[in-house]
Amino acid sequence: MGSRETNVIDCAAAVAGRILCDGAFVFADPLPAESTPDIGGWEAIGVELTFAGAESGAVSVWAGRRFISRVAANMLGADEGGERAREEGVDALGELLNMIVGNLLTELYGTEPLFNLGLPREAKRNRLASDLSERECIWFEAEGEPVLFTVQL
Amino acid sequence: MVVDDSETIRSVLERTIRMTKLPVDRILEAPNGRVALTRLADDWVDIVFTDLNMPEMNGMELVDAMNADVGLSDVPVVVVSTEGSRARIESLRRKGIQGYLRKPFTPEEIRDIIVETLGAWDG
Repeated sequence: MGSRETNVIDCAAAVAGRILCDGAFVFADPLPAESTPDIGGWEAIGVELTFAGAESGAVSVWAGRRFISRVAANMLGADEGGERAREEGVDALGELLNMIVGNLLTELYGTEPLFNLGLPREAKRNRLASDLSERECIWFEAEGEPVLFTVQL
Repeated sequence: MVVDDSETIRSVLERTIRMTKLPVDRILEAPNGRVALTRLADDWVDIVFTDLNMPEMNGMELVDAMNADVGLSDVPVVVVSTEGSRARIESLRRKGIQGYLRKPFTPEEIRDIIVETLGAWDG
């Protein structure tokens, strides 16, 4: 891995961890490669956000339903197992991703370049395999659950 | 009024505003600038918090539309966004926004911008 890729991954990992904490009140630790889930059996939901401008690319986040409900519950102050947390889970995850990408672009490129961020979109389940093979991947464990961020620049 | 295409963020912002313990009556919501303008035609608000990146009418367009409306041009607008571009933020300030907050925001930042914009409240 070249130095630029290492810098992007390190930066993305730091920003994602900070936003998970500050935005969703979730503490996340790096997940060792040997502890990542079997993709075939992982019931993950993905959200992707693309950006264009001085640089273009995409960032996606994949997580299980329980984690997504936890995030929504934390952000909304709602019951984790409640209907509201379940219904707004994907929206909450998308908004977290929005915050991560916005802050990541500033960390990587500063405040001079202009970027246009797309709207967060739920990704089809079959995108997970291609994300894993084609993009830089950052695994976290958050609240006992695996969370995957993929970055394409 | 809280304007954001994310229902989660609208809820978070509303909850955060109420956590400030400032005397707040109603908090109106809108998922984009176009709906915000429709609601502003019927209801007066003291302050508008708006995201930038929204479908149908984004935050920049909302600010322009409010500035062009003599009935809305004096309503203070605070942008709440993930935007980091200095040029874009300066452009918004030249359009007369009252403040800019970067997501994720804290209750203290929300409280401070409301007090700064609308003046201190008793109690």
